[in-house]
Amino acid sequence: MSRLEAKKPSLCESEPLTSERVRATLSVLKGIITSCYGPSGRLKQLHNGLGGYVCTTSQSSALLAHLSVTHPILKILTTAMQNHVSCFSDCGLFTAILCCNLIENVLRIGLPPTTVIKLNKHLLSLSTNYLKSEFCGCRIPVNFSNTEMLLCLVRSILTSKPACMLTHKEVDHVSALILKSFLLTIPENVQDRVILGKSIIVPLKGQRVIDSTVLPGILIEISDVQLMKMLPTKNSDSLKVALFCASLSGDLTGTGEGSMVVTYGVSLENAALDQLLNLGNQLVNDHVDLVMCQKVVHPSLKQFLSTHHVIVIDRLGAALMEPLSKVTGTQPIGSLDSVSPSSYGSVKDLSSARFGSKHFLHLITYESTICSFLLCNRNETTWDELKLTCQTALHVLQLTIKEPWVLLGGGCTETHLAAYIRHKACREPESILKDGYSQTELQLVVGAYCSALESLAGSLEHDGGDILTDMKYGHFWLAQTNSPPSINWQDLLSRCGCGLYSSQEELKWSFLKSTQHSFVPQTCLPQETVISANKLILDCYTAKLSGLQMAVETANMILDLSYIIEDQN
Amino acid sequence: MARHLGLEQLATLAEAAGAFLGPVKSAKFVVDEERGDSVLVGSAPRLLERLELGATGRLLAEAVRAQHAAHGVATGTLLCLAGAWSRAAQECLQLGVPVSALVALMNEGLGACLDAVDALRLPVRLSCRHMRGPRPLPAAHAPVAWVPGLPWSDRGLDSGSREPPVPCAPRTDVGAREGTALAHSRHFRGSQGPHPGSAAPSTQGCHDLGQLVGALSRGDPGSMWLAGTALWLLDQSESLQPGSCPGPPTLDLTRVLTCYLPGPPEAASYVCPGYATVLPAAQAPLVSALQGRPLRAVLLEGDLTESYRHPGLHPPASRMCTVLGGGPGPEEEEEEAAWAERVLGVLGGLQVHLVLVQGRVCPGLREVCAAAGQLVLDSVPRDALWALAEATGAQPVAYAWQLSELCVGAGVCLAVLGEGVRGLIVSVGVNGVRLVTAVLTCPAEALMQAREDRFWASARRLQQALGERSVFPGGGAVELLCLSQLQALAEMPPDPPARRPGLQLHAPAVLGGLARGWHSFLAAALSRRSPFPSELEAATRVQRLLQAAVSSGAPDAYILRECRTPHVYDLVTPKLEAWRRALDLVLLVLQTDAEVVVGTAHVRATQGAQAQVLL
Repeated sequence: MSRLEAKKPSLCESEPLTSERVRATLSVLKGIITSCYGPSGRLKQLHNGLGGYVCTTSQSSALLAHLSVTHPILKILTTAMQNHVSCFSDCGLFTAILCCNLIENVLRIGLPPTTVIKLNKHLLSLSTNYLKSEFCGCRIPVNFSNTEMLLCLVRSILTSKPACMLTHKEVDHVSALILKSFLLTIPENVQDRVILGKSIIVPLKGQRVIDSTVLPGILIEISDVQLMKMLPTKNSDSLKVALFCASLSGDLTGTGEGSMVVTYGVSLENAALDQLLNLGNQLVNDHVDLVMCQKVVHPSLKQFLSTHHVIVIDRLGAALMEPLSKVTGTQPIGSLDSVSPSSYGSVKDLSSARFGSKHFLHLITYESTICSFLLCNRNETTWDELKLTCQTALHVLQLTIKEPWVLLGGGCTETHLAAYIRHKACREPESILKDGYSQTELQLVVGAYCSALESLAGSLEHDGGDILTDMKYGHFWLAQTNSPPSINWQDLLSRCGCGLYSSQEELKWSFLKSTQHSFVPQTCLPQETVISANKLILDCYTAKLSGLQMAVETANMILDLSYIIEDQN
Repeated sequence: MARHLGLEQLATLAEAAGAFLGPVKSAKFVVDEERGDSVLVGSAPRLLERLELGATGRLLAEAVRAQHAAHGVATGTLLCLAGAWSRAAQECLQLGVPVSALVALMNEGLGACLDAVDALRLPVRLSCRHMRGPRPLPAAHAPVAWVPGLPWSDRGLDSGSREPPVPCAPRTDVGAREGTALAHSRHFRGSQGPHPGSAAPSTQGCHDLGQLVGALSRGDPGSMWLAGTALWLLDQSESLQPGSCPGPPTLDLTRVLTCYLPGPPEAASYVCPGYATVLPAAQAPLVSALQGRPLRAVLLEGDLTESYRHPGLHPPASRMCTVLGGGPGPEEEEEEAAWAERVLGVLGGLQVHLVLVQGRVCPGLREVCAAAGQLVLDSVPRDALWALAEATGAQPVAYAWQLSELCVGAGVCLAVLGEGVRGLIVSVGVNGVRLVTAVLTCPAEALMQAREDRFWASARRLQQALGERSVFPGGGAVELLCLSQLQALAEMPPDPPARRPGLQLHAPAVLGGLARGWHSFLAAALSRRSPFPSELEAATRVQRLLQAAVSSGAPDAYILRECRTPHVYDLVTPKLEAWRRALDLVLLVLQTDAEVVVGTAHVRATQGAQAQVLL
């Protein structure tokens, strides 16, 4: 007997953003994300409440991967953020906070959404045009003949993730390693298209960070210490390599769920082993020196090959297959029937290495754009965070080589941009106003947009310090809490957020929150200023620019929602 | 400022688990009320792995586990400091110190201390001269031949020397008597005691194994003596290897195994060369038949059973195979018997006496082999197999049918070391094998785990001191220097630009809090020694010492001078890493403001009120 159940009606919610509940959850999410932002951001312990691993993080990618949200508006927001992070790795929190700030500010001014969305679009294009322009005051061209700027960029990323638990020395060491491993992935002879190699992060948990290192070539972890003794004394220039992705364990492949018909007296296992030994014979005849297999190699085949002085490494795992195939020039072999000699490759040399308590086989190859990044940190929690951070930094370097600019970090780009837009809207409103919106509407939206940027910069401070901006460059300045009432800002501040300007210059400051009157921030960053400054805080240009776009567009989309229709079945 | 729940939890847990600090450890019972069983634990990692912990507790356990895995020691230090520092951080928060200032200053303080204590490092220079004598040695000392029976009898480590080693100072005649420089017995027994006036000051480091072993023993001389013996025995067989280079000695712990022996008192523990295990008494006739003559042995890496297949091979299920022609397939028992016969044939053909199997052994086969005069040992550790393979040239294989003449190791010796409650203690060895087994005895079985942990802690301590080739003077010297360093730092900032403006305001409070960590460590460590019964008295004594060190003008020189007399050493990296891990843990928890329970989508603020929000 079949039973029919009546379908539930769909749930329809109109003007979702006007609901108190939605605003409350949005502000909780904003609170979580905002409190993570920056070098002094607060960490979050993520766990499933049942015991096991506790992830302590302040990174958007780790946070988003674990956070499950139910409300559709929050889902739009987190999905947008995840998309951004998967494309650019960096500036995830930036995007999310800016988006939340924009929504909050726009709801406060109470203009119709269509007006706000239109004007927001204008302001966004004004911002991106400025950031892309030659006279932009917060963009620096990257000088590749000098590592200093790239090191600053990497260092800024490392210091903005406090859960990595690195000291200054360790930050310097890891930054240098990240840059080194990135440089190793750039091919020496560049034709018309540059194809970057890969740096493989090899985990070494429990060791000191300072023990991390970068090696050209591939490191394969070996549990079999005895294998080290088998390494051949080198008698030729290279070693011939065969790489198998098929299992060589003697498994019968391809039977699936079906059944087999076997003649009496035939042992399937022996048949499989015979096939393997035939393969072994062929490998020996072809003078292969090194056999590597993604899966297990049958002990008999191993024994056979090692009596013929062939080195066998099995259980490589799927992750190493692609880089191995690339550096050795092999075609991974998927069948056991016959091996075409064209699928063999070669390595230059083979040596053994020991790091911490682990043993590795080090393949030194002719193809030189692959390197191994042995990454250490004291425990699992901090290692995981450091690994994510290193991946972000490597990605940011790749983005920077494509678009060779960096933005000033430490909140300075945001405050400078806000000052620029306020000034533009005040002095040249006709450059924005074309569609017949009133001056008041424009001022309200500009106020919402700029204060979203400014409070984003202000989110860098979590201890209640005073946030200031100077009236010359529009940069971000931070004063410690409990500053004495008789304020001499010059002594209380040392350098601006990005480290470019010193407080000893003749500057005038005002509190960021109260900056309402517009001023002309100095555009066109002079080259000398940048060269004379050291240890700047820098941000990735590509990631920040598209983060800005993503934030404004997502905010516009959320503001535009008038109904949420939920299917409850 | 609201209470920081995470720091509170951390402090409470760390203080509870910190009772294992110092040489005198009090064991704890962990009772499982649900199942009604209880376990006696004697170290912090063992305690923490038995407890059910919240998120902060799990971070603490992870830090302790990581320290234990990396160094095997100093987990008590980690817990003591983590507890004291989380209390200090809480107090600073209540004083209104911002979190970022707290993090920056604590890191700065620890960094300064780490730099300062580097001056206290003492070199360990055990050259080969002190470990190895020029050959040939006097016959009575020759460690060359494998002597079945008492492994001690003619090795200089005569059975009388089984008492713990006494720390002995380096003697002036070490270099003078080149011929007997090996003189391990002197080093281990030290019965003559230091020559008055000839003892070199410890500021010049350690040149003598006996001295090192004694100074590292930390209230457990028995285990350290075993570790020292293991080192010496391994060094002996190392020197027999062709082409071995006489570098500074190191202790390779993959070549050290343990074997439990419940019953006899702890002092009856010893170290023997080769692999030692306990065999059931029923095997006694077979063992005595094989004892004392060179044997042929094979090594198997898997199980020795009919159904064993190497990992990664999945034989097709029988229901999937249809057999064409022939009669019904053989029964399982018949198959097994046929298999056993084949294995026996292979072993017989190779004239094997001894089969060492890493996994399980089919009981039927064991009996058949015993009848044929072949002894089968199961559950042999992998390290033992490989060490024997290395010494004999035998090749370990996975299946019995892989065996060939190439896989047989000849000249293996079987020796009976004694008789225990559970059977015979036998050892398997071969000339020059780089493998030793520590036979650990313990009267109470409940303490066996702790006994083994203590042995490994000693072995790790010796291994790391040798590996790093430097030690710290012990007895709180390092901590005292840190205290004086912090005091100086709090009073006098390094240079103004090194600290952000505004930080200086909080420096005395934060650095004082950091100093409290070492203060309570010293007080706890001192109060567990006999002359200082109460923590209060210990704290006063620490304060007095600190005053003296600071007022001397050069604290490091003063401390080196003062700490010369008692010969106690501390390890360098494990200690410093424990400090760093403790601070990392406290700062990690300090900077955490929310706990997100994922999956069920709960967000719970740990700081302030317990607010639960569903997203």
